[in-house]
Amino acid sequence: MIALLVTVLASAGALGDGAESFDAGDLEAAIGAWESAGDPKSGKVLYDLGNAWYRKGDHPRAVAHYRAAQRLRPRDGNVHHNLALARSELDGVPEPAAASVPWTELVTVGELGVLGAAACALGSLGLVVAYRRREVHGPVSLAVPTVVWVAGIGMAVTATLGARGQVAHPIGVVVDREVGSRELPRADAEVGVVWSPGTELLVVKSRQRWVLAEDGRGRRGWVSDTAMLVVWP
Amino acid sequence: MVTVVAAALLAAPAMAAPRAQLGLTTDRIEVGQAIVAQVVVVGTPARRPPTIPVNDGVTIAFSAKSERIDLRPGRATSIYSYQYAVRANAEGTYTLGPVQIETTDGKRLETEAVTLRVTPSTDPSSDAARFVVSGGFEESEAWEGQVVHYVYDARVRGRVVDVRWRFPVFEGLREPQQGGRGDEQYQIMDPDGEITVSHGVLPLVATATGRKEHPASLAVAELRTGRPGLFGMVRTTSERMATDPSSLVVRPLPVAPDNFTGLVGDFVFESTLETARAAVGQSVTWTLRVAGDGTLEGFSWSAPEVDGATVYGGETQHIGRVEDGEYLGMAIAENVLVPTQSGQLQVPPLELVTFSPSRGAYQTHEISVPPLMVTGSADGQSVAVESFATEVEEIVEGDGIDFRDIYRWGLATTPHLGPVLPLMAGAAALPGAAVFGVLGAQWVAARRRQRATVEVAPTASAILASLPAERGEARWAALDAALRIALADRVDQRVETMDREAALALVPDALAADLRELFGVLDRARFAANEPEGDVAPRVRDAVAALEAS
Repeated sequence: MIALLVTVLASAGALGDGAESFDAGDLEAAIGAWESAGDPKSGKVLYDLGNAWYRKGDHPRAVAHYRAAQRLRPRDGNVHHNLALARSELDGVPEPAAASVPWTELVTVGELGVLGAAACALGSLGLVVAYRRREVHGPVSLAVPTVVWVAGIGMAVTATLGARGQVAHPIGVVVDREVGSRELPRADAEVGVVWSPGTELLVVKSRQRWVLAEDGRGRRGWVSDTAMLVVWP
Repeated sequence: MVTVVAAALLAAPAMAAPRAQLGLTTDRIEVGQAIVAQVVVVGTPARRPPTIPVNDGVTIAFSAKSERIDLRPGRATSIYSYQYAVRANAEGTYTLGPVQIETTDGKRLETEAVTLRVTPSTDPSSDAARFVVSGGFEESEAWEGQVVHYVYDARVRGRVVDVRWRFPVFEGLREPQQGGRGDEQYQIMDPDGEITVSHGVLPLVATATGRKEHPASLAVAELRTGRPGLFGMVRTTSERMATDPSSLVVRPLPVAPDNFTGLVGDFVFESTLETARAAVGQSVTWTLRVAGDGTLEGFSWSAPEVDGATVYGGETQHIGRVEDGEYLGMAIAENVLVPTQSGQLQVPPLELVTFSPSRGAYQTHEISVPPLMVTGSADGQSVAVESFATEVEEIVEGDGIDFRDIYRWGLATTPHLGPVLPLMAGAAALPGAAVFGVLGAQWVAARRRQRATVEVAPTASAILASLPAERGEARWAALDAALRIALADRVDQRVETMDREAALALVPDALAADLRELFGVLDRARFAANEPEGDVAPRVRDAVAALEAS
């Protein structure tokens, strides 16, 4: 408990240090403070980093951080709002790629996993109690705890698969300069779609230093893994 | 053309004022096909979705509304879009609109009307109708330095992911430095399957004179095949189709006058001062805007000397893009004018010479500059110069766009639950699984007991009641079984696993001796062919009764 409290206080300090720099207009210091907050970063820190990059005028990086924040805070109106603002600053970008696991736009994998584990625990408790009552009082229905228990397992399995899907297929954002996608993972391959800074891409698969990416219109191409920024929570 | 350019140019400062526009994805469809119409309202939303008036032969249904924010340096504007499905039922030319719009703040707007041509439907089964491409120059002749338009179009039936274009090397032509090709891709809903249209314009500057033949362009359509894979990944296959070759004649420019600016195209000019009143010594931005269908790359403007003011040169910004299928080049040159004496400052008109392809001749533009009233003291309007970043910040924070603030407290890190989720869920599910395990084991045991009860021989009394009448193995076995069952019941053991001698030790000695003798008689009868004298059955019945009674 004490360790948890210390962690919370230390983390809150990192958020506050960055906020002070941000308010003072020192965006570099704010970004430095939040970046050094440790990993894995919380949704609030990622959102704050998005705001700092937005203020610096680097809208592609702002979008990348807002997308990462969205993974952890899918129902946070502030994240959605500022992400929309950052996107409206971008020209010539296609529709943003959707999350690889669609339901994570409503609930995080952590939330669903904890909910599933809680349902499992509740179902288990109900089953144990019903079993004891059955031994004492004769036949007792196990239907309700069984349904809760099975639903919990279903949610936990879905959350686990969702977490794996997010890791295997993250969202990357093109930053700094235009990127020409290639039909094969080779520098001399033919150039296909050209993606502007701020284009949000879904990583389909990786091969050495190349990434097969897909934009929101379903267009695919290989790009160097340094061509886009993937912000991991 | 120039009218369109002028409208685009002059509309820009009034961007924040409410405006409305009606547009169609394409102006030509076949009978039975459907496209999307869009009414765009800038500034304030409509009180209700506007109605698009149209004659019989075309049906229009409202489908969706959307909103986006357009943020540009100096202004932020909300843009509301109302989308409609437009279906053609009969051949003909139809006029859609004008659309009357009532905004939520009570203003009334009106869009221009648009025309839709509906042609008879073609046979969708022919290869020609499945993948159709075309490409060529909008102009057959052009002047050196003029921007020409290579227009390309592909129509593909099927589940299209994307259509890409590969262009040849256009000899004697190059892309302008500002503004690339303008592409659009949209769908036409057809009764025989969706048609994807990829249409675009590639602007090119003519750099060499003479007639040039240009090779074909290639359209590559990516079509979906089969069902999406895991995580919705799309499987595709490519089909290619080439356009016809094209040609263009480029004529050299006539001998140019000395003050020719080098601009080839039809241009409009506008010169403005930042304010109509200023104080002596106050900086006033003097802007020259140029827009036209030619490229403005390399164009710069240095304001001339002006009596009663000092002029400082500034930067020129160049913009180029394809808009409504035409190349639009724009340049904004800014100088700073500082009045040095009071009174009305009248800047003489500017003269700029361009070559107009539509006229085929050089054209001199006389651009008037509005007068500036200069006062001796600093009572002019404020013209504080602020950085771009500050302007954006003001727009974002001060002019109605609600940029949400940062979080100031809370956890900076968060644990990743993904790796531990299986453990958590497994631990939570374990007691439930244990209950199911116990219940399962009990069920299996009950089933076994039930099966054993069914399979076991009837009671000793029942066996004795149905003894085989014939002397022989069957009778001796039945008697032996009756004795065993009665003994097992007496010592409360399962007959299949009962140790006979151990069981006999548990009954009274006299009865045990009697039973031992009877078992011996029956064993000899069954296994040594030594049949007993007389009937053993009464003695067995007595022994069973004795066991049941003891």
